[in-house]
Amino acid sequence: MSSNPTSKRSPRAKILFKRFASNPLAIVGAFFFFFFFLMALIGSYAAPYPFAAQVIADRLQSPSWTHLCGTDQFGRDVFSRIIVGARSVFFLGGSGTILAAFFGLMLGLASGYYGGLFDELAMRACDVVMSFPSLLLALVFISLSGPSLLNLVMIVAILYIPIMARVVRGMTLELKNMAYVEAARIRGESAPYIIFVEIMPNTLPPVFVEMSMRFSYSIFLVASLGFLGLGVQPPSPDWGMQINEARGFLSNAPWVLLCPATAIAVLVVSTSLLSDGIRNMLQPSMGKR
Amino acid sequence: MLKYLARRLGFVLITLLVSSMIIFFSTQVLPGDVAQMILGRFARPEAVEALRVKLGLNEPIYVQYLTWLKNFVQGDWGLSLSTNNYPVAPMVWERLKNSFILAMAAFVIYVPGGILLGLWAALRRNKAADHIISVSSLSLIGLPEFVTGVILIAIFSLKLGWLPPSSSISPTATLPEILPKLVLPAITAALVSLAYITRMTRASTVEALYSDYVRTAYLKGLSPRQVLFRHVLRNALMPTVTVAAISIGWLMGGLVVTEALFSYPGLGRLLLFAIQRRDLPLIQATTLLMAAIFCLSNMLADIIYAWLNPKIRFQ
Repeated sequence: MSSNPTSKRSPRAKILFKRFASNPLAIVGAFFFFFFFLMALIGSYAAPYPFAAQVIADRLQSPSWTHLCGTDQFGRDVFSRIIVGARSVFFLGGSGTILAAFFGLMLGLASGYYGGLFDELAMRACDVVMSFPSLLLALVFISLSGPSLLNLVMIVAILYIPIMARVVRGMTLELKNMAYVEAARIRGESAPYIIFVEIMPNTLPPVFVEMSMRFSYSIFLVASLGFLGLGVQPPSPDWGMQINEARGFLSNAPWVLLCPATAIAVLVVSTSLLSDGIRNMLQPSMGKR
Repeated sequence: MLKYLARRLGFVLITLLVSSMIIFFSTQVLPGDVAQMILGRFARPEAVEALRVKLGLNEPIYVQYLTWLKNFVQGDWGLSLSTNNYPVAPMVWERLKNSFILAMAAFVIYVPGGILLGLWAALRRNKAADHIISVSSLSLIGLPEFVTGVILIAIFSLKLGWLPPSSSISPTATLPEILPKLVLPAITAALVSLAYITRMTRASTVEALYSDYVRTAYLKGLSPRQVLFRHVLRNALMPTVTVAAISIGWLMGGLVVTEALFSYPGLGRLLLFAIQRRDLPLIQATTLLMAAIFCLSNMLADIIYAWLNPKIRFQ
């Protein structure tokens, strides 16, 4: 690699990539993560059957080559529903996490840089949100506002903004007293320039680490809401909902439950392995020992 | 210490006051008139108006809030809308008792379990046992309770037939009748916190093992056992104690899912029932009670930490 002069990768990227690749668990995690991500993108084309097609004659069939994960109580292909169901997990968790990262970054930068009353109020508000179990807050919010897609994305974002803001604020407090920021201030740069050009780039690695962790928790949250009947509404397939609906058939058709449960388990585990890998890659000193 | 306690208690009271406002006012923005909901769509307007006066719905909103708060503190939590105006308070206390039993059963599983696993992993760090424990705890943290619960049911109820898959219990059931039904839900609710405590204990034990005072203890000739019990554990278990206290609050979120999966009649299932039927007094009471339990467990965690750690106490 290093002998290749046309390689466009900067040395830093190469170091990061090497560090990531030296962690076999992270690679396994990345593999499954991108498999499900691909399914979220092209799932409805890749699925062997339409996810909502009911064939009553074929109901509750055990797994076979025609139906890899069997069929459910309406004769729908469980495998196809899992593949298409990846979409809602990635959409809800992903866009919620990205929104949270954006607003958390802005709030954290402003709070850390300006300090004062704004900082105090913002951090106390974050304390209140963070002082409750996230699933409980989500339940109350959804019960009040209804389980629409927009509301689900919003609740994921609201739950994670305080955590992101805390991380960024802590970094900003540390960075704003650094000599290079001081230098920028002395040469007369404006506050937005200092915040976005001098400080923000250095807060990004922890934000990425936090995002990957938040995304894996958001799968937990979205799937749990789906299980409780407060997530994505039918007919859209959703893993949590699939498990909830199939509970009555556990003894005679366990595959209807166990296949989506396995999908959640594999995605969650691979996402946390991946996020662990990202953390070790970006902040190697923290994962050592 | 007393000053510290007073400050913590004040903070909890303010948080609870803010939460009670949020809970009260957000249930007010729901569309629909409560009096109309109680009497049904075809009630005569005079009857609805009479009930509005009786319930105080014509008062200004802050008066309604203060009345509600006063009644709540005095233990009058109103009447449930979805169960023929049954009073909320006895219903909630009955469910809270059940949830408490389940939470305690989970607690006695995950606290000792997590500490032992974390210590084991730390003492065997970077060996096979450590890798297995670390990876499985990392995975368990992210697994929703209904996924682990379904897998446990499939193994222990369907395959082996040892334990019942459903945990619906009657209010008159005695403890020996309840016990076998508690095992699976308790393990299910315990797993996430078990994983947290394992990771926390491992991290802090490893940190302590690399510290200077532990090296000094070895160098002055103490046996590994003495070093472990006198020097490592004392410092390593401090964060664990805090996490154990905070985890009482986390349990509450997990219990909603666990209780729904096992049909266990606890507070979480009551909240879900209330949400599905939009039973406002019931939603208000359960959420505020959960908020209170959560804040108190956080306060307990802080107090224990301050008690163990003089650095915080005398700040």
